[in-house]
Amino acid sequence: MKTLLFFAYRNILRQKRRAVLLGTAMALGTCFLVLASSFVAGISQTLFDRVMTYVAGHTSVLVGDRGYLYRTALRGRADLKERIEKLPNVKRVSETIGIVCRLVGPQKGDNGIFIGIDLTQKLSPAELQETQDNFPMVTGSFLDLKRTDVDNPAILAKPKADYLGVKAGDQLAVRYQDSRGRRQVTHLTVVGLFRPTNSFMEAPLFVSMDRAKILMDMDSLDLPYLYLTLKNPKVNAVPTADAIQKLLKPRLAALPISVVFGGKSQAVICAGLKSDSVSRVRLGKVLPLAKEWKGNVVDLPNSLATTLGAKPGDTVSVVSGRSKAGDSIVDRAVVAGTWNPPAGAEGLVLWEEDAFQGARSFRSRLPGDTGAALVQAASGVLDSLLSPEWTLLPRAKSTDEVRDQMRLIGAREWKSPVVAVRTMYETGEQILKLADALSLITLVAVLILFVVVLTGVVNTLRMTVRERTREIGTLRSLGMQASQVRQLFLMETGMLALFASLTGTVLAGLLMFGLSRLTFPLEGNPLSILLVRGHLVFVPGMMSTLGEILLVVGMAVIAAWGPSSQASQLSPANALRHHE
Amino acid sequence: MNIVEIRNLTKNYPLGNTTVHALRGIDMDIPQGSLMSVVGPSGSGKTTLLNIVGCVDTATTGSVKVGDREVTTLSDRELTRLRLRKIGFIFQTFNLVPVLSALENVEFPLLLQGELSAAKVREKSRQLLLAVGLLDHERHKPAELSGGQRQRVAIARALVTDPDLVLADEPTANLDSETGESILRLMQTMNAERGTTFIFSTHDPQVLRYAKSVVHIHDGRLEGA
Ligand SMILES: Nc1ncnc2c1ncn2[C@@H]1O[C@H](COP(=O)(O)OP(=O)(O)O)[C@@H](O)[C@H]1O
Ligand SMILES: [Mg+2]
Repeated sequence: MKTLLFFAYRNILRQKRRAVLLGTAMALGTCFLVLASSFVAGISQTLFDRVMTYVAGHTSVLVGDRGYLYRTALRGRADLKERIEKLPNVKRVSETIGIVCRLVGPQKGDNGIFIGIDLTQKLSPAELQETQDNFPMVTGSFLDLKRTDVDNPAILAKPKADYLGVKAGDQLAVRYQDSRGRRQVTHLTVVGLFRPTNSFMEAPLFVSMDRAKILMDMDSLDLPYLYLTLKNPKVNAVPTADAIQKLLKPRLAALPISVVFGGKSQAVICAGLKSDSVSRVRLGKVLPLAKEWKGNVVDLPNSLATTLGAKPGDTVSVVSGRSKAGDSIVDRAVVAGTWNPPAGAEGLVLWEEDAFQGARSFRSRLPGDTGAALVQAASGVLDSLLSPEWTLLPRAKSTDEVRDQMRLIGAREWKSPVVAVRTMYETGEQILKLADALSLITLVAVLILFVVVLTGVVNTLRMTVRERTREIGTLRSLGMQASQVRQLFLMETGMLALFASLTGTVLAGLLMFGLSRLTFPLEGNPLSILLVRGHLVFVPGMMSTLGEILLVVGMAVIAAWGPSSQASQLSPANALRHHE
Repeated sequence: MNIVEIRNLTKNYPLGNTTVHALRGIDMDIPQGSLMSVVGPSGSGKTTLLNIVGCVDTATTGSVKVGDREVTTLSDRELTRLRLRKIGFIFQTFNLVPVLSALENVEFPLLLQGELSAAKVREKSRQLLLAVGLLDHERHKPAELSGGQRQRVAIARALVTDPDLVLADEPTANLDSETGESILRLMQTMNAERGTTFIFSTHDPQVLRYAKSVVHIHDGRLEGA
């Protein structure tokens, strides 16, 4: 074996020109392969770590109030964010508010998206640099969003500002719908302008997250959209989404209210009771009512009815808390009946679901937990007739399913908030398809390489075997076995391929080093999304490079098998008689 | 004792639609320690006979015993092993491996045997190079040696495994007569000193005097044997 290896090594450079030619072809092939796969790995990293994080999050939680997905708030459940943050593989959970709005400047109006930025989040220096590179500032800085000396500081794109006719320091009116569905007009102060790196970047109008929440009429207890950044997103996106799906199993909704009648007021817990036609039929069997369960109606516990002196048919006032502005939120509801709550649910008032969820949505600072246990105790009797905190949509498996879900959300009248958990595989299928298309480059590289190696090795080796026929006869007569002759030629080819692919790898390394130092302009460059700070990104992997070297050597050895076997099967006597 | 015993050996080569009868019934015994010459004109069957005795070719019919072993029934693997252990070859065109030095060429059969340590292999190969008078050329590549020097290296290579039998197919045909005779003298010496059996073929009656015994071959038959 050692003898053969040594001999094979000596033989490699025997026909120098031929070996150098074949070696160069294999080296260039390997170089291209390593380059292509590192580039694809780089793009894929960019797509997953950067683009995906911004566009959809590796995994995301969408919330919408009663089916309106742009009323993005889950009242009183900010605690869920902390529980999601504690899941394994979760690197970061970002709250997201992005609302389509109308910007009205002194000259013109235009559509925009106002986006809340979490300035309290700790960014790594690299992330900070990246943000600065993506949004190069013309005037001001992102930290100006924290200013308190002006009203509602905001940053927008320079071309947008020019179009609207505003400059830094000016006021700008913005019209939008808040998270409770109310139309609002607010004045913002332009504190900074950035230069958009591509046309998508012209739309956003940035305000601080605290400010965005106030403008959206959300408070710190409310949960907006969540975008998650994950470790190893390709592997973890779906399991994490499934874990969140479990975590977000809704409880039954509860709301502390006061019922006022005949000058008396009583604070109680109230639950929502469904009122659709199917539920009404079932309701008749478990809960005898004097009036139909329709419109703004309540069912009072017997004890409360007695205390207040209210009878079925009476109209009571339901005070469900205070709005942001400080006004009491008061509904007038007709008593549809009285009931006897089961043990543990004593004093529970039932309220028609639509009115109940509306009150929950409009109430400021809804605490998450109050009364939940009481409502739970009633579920033994009322079961699925009770209104949930929200409706958790089943996990969509594909982009098509997501589209269907969105259509469904729009079409149906939802009585409760809607929550959906998504992964980039459903929301960002287009981007992921791009990543797949790019890995095709590597495959093509492999195929080209295979053809080059196959034809190159086979032709070269055939020639070599013909030239060395008499020598093969000599070696056989000296006592070399036929199998050793084959081994010898396989070793020669394998070694040449190994040297060539190592050279190619080094060459690829040098090329990558050189190429990644070039700076490409970002502006007006449709591929800028694939660049990181204007540079190409290569991510050569130790294992993948090793694999590629092995692949090249393996392909060469496989290609050499045929001619080597032929050489080994030559009859020694005939080989000795051979004259070139 | 006979190192080679041949009975009724024939060898046919198919050539297109016809058959070439290269050997037409050979009978001969070669005693151990012989220095035998096979003489005949070109095309008479010398190479064919030596190849079959040297186990690089197979008989069409008949029996060939090499060192008491019937070789006509052996597989390629077994024949190869037999060559490696018992037989040495010297060729008309020297057939040294061009990428190996003189010393490495001599070492090669021993390395193929894989029984001795690298140091022993080297020592033994040097002894042989010394015996053929080329120790001072051990690092030279074949291309840097003259024809006579190359054939001396080939003799060292043939003898390094201490074979029972060395076959030399027209070893002097590519050498001038003076050099050729020095090669034959070297074979004479080796035969005398080591007792190795040598069979060499030639078409040149001039060199017969170096042989201890001679057979004439003509048209695939031995004459006067
Ligand atoms: N492989 C072969 N195929 C066909 N004919 C062959 C082959 N080898 C040798 N011969 C023929 O056999 C005869 C004997 O050849 P050979 O043993 O080489 O003679 P010599 O060595 O005495 O010149 C010649 O006629 C030659 O043409
Ligand atoms: Mg001949």
